[in-house]
Amino acid sequence: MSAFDDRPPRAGVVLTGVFSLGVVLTTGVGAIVALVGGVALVAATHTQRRLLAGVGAVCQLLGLLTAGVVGAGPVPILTGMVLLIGAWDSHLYTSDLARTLGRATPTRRLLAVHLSITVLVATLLGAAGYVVYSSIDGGYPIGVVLSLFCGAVVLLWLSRG
Amino acid sequence: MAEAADVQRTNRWYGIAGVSFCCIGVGVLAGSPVLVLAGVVAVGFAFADRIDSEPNHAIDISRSLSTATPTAGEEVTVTLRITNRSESICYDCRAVDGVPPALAVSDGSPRLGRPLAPGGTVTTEYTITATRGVHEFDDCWISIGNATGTLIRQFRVPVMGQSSVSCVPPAPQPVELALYGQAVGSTGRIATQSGGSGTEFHAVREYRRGDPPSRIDWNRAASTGELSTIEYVRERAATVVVVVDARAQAYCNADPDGQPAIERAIAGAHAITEGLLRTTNRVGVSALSPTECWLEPSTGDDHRSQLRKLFGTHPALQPIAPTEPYLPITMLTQLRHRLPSDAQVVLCTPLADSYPALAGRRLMAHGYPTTIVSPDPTISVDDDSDAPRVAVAALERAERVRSLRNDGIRCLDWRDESIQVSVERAVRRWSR
Repeated sequence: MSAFDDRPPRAGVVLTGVFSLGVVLTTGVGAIVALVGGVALVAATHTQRRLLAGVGAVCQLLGLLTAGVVGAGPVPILTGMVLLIGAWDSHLYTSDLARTLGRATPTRRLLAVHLSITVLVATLLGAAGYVVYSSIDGGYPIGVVLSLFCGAVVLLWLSRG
Repeated sequence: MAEAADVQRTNRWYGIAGVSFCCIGVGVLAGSPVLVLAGVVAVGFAFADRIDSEPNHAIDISRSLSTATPTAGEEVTVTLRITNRSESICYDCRAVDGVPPALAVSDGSPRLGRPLAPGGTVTTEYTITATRGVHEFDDCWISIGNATGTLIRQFRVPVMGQSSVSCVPPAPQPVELALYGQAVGSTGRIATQSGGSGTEFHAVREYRRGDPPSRIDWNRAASTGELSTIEYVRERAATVVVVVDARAQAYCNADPDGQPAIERAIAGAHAITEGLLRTTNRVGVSALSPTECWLEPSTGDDHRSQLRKLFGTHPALQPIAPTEPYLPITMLTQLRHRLPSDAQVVLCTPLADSYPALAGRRLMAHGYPTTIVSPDPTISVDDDSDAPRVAVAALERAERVRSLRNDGIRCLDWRDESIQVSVERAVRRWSR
């Protein structure tokens, strides 16, 4: 009987690495910590270790926070956050595919569709945030108040369920 | 249609709210508005499972096989066709076909993962290698997810189309197992103690009226003038019941990836029945199994094809170990009551435990000459960690073989050679 090959699909490991590398490139002074986190996240995806993945993601987040604290611009930070979300989602989805479908099953289309949606949603959220940020920069406090109000309403609506 | 299944949350973004608050907190403390913004991006995913719709797609699955009645070892291509019957996109559709546990997938994968457009169909192919038995496919396991992967629904779908493979092995090379000198009336190949028609010289007696002229000793008649009749060793057919040990214990093997010992036991039993039928003996088959298995001793071509079908597809001899309890004394008594009074028994068993030896002794004690044919399940072990366990099992089995032989029961220890070689060696030993 052929045993089920529950190793993660290679494409998923590669994509996690690409997203993690993207985070490293956007973090500037925090790149070392982010790099360590990226390596840990890729290793965790390959070996399917949840704890190591958590450590890796936290390190990448620390790199991003360091960059933000030392004054990185909104574009690299928002891009970094989108990519960090992509890396984490890629790790989770790849592990899930490994558990249910294994390496022998073609899963590239699933990966591509799922990660495209995740990155698209993250990018839209980032773009919305960037618009708000620009409005603050432009000196329109009413826009900020309105945005906060709308955000609070949306959060309340979402948390009803 | 599919069984109802509840939607499950995957908690994929569990903890993202913490990341968001972390960013916002550090951003506020450090006076960095961009970190606050980054937190806003993250917070959106905390509510993804509330925003996204539930996966409620209707999935149809059909299966087709390149052949439903393959020969043993033949490759069978299985085509699985999955259709999304709903009017929305299924972003994440995963399927695992219910491959029969005794069949190995030799090429491709019985698993499939693809997004499915409304009304869309996706097809996958994989190959299985057919082995003896009737193999039933199980339902297909399906998992569908929403776009963000936060909600999934898992269920089993009955598959339309072909759902079983039936593989009857070809007739094996016959094996002429030496039987005990007990026989019935019809002419056969078992030598008896009495004289009569045959080929081997037995004695010369006085001529009796009605003796066939071909058996008169004409040389003696010419020299002495008295008629005498030559008697040959009378050869008679035997009634033999071949019993296969098909209890769960017989499905053992030292190599977990190898075929269970019962497969060799069945192959050996089949070869022996072919050999016995060839020599005009009456052959029946039974099994020590929780599932009833009995074929009356008989002979002829129809019986031969019945035997072939029985060894290939009978539920008592399925490739997967039975889970039902086996009642050792009841089943043995039942078998004993069914056996014809003049029957010999050939018990094919790996002797994995003491019960078959006990059964052999009981049958012998009740007047059924019993021969045990035992494929050795302890001969191959690849994993060193299993070596001590297998060594102990081999010692126990060797002791059972020795003890049976000491009790006067013929016991054929069938190791890794062919059944023909093993039988020839045993027959030489028994004839000494």
